Amino acid sequence: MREDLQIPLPDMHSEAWWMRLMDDDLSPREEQLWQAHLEACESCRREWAAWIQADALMRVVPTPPPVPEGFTTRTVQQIVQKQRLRRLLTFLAGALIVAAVSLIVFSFVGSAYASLERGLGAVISARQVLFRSLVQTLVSLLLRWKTLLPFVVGTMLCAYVLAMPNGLIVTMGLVWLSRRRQLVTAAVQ
Amino acid sequence: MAEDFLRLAQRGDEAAITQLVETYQRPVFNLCYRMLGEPAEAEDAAQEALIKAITNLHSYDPERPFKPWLLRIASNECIDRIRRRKDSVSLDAMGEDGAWEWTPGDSPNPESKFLSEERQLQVRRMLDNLSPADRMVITLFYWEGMPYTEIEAVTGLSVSAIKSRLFRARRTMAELLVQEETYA
Repeated sequence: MREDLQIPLPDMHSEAWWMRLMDDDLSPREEQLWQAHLEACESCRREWAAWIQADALMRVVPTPPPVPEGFTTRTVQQIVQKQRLRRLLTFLAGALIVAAVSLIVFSFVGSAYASLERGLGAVISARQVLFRSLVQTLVSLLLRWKTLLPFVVGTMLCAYVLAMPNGLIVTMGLVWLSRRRQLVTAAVQ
Repeated sequence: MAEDFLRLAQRGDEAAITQLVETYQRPVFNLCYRMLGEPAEAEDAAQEALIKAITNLHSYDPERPFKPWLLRIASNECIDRIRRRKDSVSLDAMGEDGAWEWTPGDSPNPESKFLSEERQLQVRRMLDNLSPADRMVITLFYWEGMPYTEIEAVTGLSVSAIKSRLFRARRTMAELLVQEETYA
């Protein structure tokens, strides 16, 4: 009895008490107190009955039907399409940015192409610089992401083609010439 | 779930995507069905959730478990759908078109069927009176049988917030039952 007097009675109308009730978190002594309270308190008795009823209703689980036929195929198709579209849009966005930057750069350095010799010199020099930076960028990206993303390769090639069309022709020409030279050398030997 | 496997799916590997969808379609569809109550809408929601998840795999943190992350996307999808249809849903249509079917009892006689339909209507009415977020917590707790920690992982709410939402939802449902009894 003395022990009971020392423990303060919990507020059985509080949210905290009801939360503990629903979690089945009462000690045997608290359970006794609660039962005694229920006998005395009409509103708590009614509310508690409704809580138990709602709880029982919710404990009957609706059984879902099987996953519809063809669900997997349809979903996978849509995902693949969406991923492709996203990649294409990213590529186009990258290409647009590169084209815009190239235009700006050309409008500033256009005077370098005023004479043929200076132009040729600029083309060859720029081709070498650009090609080296392209390779370096690709290698560093490869090391960083451990992947050869089509977006990265596409953007870099785009930059190369858009920024240096003459350089590309020169490169292809040089490659063609060196192959011819190898063939001729081999034939002579 | 192996990290490489998810990375393959992210890169567009069809086999990896198929594997991912096959593995998780059941729990995602079940959750959507229990949240929305209609198979057709649940199918749409589940499909949308899987598409969103797999096309946004770059935002997934591989340090955390994959399933709760996926279920969170599914639950958000369901919450959005419930909000959108909130004003247009009709109680008259409940129980039709395969909406919510409970496991049949031992004696599927007309009386028990009627009681079962009544119970469905009652549960539906109760759930329709909850906020979508409270409804989600109730669904995860009762019908997915998740403990608080798992609900925390799916919803992003703290355990105390979940308890509080559960309390509020249960109180709302109990009040509705009292009201129904009073009117009856």
